[in-house]
Amino acid sequence: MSDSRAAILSRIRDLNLEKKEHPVIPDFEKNGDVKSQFINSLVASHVSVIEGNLDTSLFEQITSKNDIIYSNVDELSSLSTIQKDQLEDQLTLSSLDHVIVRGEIGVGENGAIWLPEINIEKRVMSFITLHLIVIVSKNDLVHDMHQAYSKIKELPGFGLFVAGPSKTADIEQSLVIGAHGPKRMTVLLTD
Amino acid sequence: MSHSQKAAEFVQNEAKTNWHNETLWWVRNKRDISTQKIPEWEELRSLGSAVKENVMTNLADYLEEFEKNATANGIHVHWAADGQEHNRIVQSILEQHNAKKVVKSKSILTEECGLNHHLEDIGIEVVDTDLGERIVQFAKQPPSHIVLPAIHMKKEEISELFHKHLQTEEGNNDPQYLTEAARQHLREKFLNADVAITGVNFGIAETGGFVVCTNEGNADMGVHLAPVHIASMGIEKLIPRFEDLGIFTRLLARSATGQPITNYTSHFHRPESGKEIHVVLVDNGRTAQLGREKFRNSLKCIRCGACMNTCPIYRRSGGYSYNSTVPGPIGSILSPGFDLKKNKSLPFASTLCGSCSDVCPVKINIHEQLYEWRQVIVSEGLDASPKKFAMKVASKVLGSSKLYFSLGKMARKSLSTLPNKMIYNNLNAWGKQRDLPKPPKESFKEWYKKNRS
Repeated sequence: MSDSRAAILSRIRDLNLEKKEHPVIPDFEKNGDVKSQFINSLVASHVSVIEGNLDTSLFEQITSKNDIIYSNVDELSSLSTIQKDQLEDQLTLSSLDHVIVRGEIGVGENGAIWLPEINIEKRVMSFITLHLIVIVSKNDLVHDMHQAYSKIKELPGFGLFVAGPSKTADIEQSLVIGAHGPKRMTVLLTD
Repeated sequence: MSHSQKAAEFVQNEAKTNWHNETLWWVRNKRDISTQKIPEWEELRSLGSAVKENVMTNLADYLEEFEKNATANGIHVHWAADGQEHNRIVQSILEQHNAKKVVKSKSILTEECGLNHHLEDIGIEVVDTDLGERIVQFAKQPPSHIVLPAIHMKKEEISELFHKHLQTEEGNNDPQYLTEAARQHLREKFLNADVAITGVNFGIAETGGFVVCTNEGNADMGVHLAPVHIASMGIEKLIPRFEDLGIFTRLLARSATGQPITNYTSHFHRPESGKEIHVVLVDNGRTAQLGREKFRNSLKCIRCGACMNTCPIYRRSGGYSYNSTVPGPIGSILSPGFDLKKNKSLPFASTLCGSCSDVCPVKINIHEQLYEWRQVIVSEGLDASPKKFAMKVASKVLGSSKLYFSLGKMARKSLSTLPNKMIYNNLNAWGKQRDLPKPPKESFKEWYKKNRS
């Protein structure tokens, strides 16, 4: 194995290519109202958007009685119908109806939301649930991906930009929502 | 078989050819609409290209930096000189974990290495989990497009495959219904997998992590449920800095499908507690391509597929006509580097219209490289013999004005009097699908002499 390492590196170095500089990424002009851009992007990606506060009554409208819910947002922990340690069981994970997590950054140009590992408890959780609910504060919105990446100061072991429910168009380019992961996604935009 | 022979097979079904052509053009249009929403789009392309230029010319340093940082993050880094070594490394990781069941998300590199066959031969179950890839796996075919693997198939054919493999209702062609069936089937595979294999969209030297982009979420379903994640990565997939992701996440999905970003852009830096991440860095001909000055730029490719969607030849000849892992314009400049003799017809499968270069998010001069490969192929004497013969005759005729004028006279006369059988035959490849233009009564020189002198 290490033989190949040395071989690959020396094959590259033997070429003696003239080194080119890394370019400077300019500060692109940001235009327009970031909140409406964010909402428009999400709606275009089949995400339901609610504006409001962290009020548990809000969730009665988007969940049903016997649903399995896990909230990783402290203020909404009373909504959880299962305990944290039950997430170790794959069958429980696979039967999750709603997962509630907090997003750190929302991006206007594409509706992407940054979910660092610490906000999602188990990595698979936001993929395996039927319905993903993400809380985003209006203060955490940025215009584009350059701003978003510059806001990520601490690198999590795993982090995710999520921009909508799971989807595919692999059969004749017909869009189908809910390929493997969530069939629904809701964003609660708070003040 | 050459590209033109395979393309002739594809166009037999005219309705399907038209559908294929129009559907890919629709994807190309979505790309246009999406890119026009970004005022700095052209600047982004230049930046993407310049970052990759920086990577190519400092590749050894960045590889070492990546390895050092990834190792510090607790990721196991392996090096493979070629596809076989890549497969052996993957096999040894599977053996260490006594793994029998593998789920795989889209990875063109593992296709290139022939990983599935290798693993199946040693008794491992390999399940491709991207819906399009699962479809072609059921059909025992390779993907025909790097982003839309089953774009060559109609829903009726997919329904038939699913009826056979997943016991779906016969004749139910509803994409929603078929996707749901695949979801149930693959959910079970995800929950029982021993190892998950993915490709890599971007490896980050500065942070020792990597990014995987999907719309379905299949890569994440696989790797977060299985105890071991193996990521196969071509050495050209590196980017220097974390901030560079700002450029490439903006370029990739807009170019590929016209979406503003892929649904899931997953950043891996450390394994989840109790789990393992392995990265296999693969050369397999990439350092050789790096050494070919005129073709080096092809390594900038971020595998968006835009050049396929726009290409008038790809749209009308289908991915299989290229008979190579990466089809279309970009494949036609990459594949000759792997095996010139086998892929010698590919650089000729182009009108050199340049549309591929126009849409390329990292500004690869694809059509110019196609032209360069043609010159390599001809100078090595690998071009097709009817063309060689025709060129020899043409160079004689065009080299002598006497011969040119007398043959011109003869042609004008004979073309209008000879029977079609004499004109349209194997020597006239141009006339296979086309009528020759009607010959004029006189040459321009004759006309000029009469009217102006």
